[in-house]
Amino acid sequence: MHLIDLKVEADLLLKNKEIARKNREFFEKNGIKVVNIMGAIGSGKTTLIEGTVKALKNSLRIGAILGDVAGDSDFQRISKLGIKAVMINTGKECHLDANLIYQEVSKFHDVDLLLIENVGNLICPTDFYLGEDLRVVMVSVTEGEDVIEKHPEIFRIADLIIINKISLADAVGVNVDRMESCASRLSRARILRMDLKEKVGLEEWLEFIRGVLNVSGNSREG
Amino acid sequence: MSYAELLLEQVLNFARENMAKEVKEVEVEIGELLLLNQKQLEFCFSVIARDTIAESARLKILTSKAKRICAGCGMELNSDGVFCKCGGEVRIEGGKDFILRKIIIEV
Repeated sequence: MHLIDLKVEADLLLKNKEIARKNREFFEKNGIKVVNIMGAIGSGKTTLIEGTVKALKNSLRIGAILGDVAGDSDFQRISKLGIKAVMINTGKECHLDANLIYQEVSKFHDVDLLLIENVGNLICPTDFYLGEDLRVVMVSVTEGEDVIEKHPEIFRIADLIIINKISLADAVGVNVDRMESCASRLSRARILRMDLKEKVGLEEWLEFIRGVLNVSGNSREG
Repeated sequence: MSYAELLLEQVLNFARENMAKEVKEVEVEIGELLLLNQKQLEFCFSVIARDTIAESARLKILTSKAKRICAGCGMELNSDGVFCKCGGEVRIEGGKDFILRKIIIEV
């Protein structure tokens, strides 16, 4: 009986990266643009998807993957709009990973745009690249003025940052300019002010999405 | 918890491949930008390793730093900003690794 010192040098996140690459290949082969929408609980991710589907479903084939710890209320809301949607319940895991997406991708082979709603939080989804073209991070003013400062990593990897519910800023005592300047210190991403209930910022978002659809081969790594 | 699971899965794979009876020590490197809490990783690992050959393994955690380098002047910076004083964009390299460096096993 003796001890062995075993050099391993194994990248533990490699598996996710490899499967994400497979997803990426599938998306590119089938001409699918994929947007990973991350954000806090209640920040408005599902409402954003609803707005997008309503505005674009006549001109585009849209699919949606909805990630939540439990329940299917988001799935009910989106599938009611007549698009292809899949619910992924992650249980105690607080993010979607590349493998969970890989299990579902073949169902979306014929869509132009796939919207993925990640599990609602600003921490866990950060390190799990899914094979997407773009990462959107959404927060709302009701989460507090310092919500961006408290979660720097997810904003660093964002391609677009949305600050939602801006019409409530005064009521909750939040300075949106301060939120925005914090975001711009952390990230080069475009920042969009939004209030979906008041239809503020939706047109700019749709323009952004149309822009994504017109760019080819926007491959990125996690 | 998912990081602890990734870690345990690989530890057990390597241990079994090498006919280990017991895993004595696990050395893992985590990048500072993963913002993993070491105490929580230790705790989660100890919970899920129970009743496996790694249940009494000591977890040794090393931290790797990210490099912040200005794409304009090439300076390495300490601050977190997006732009350097020279106006160049700051690129972040590394700091996101999660690597199982080595294990000590009893055979």
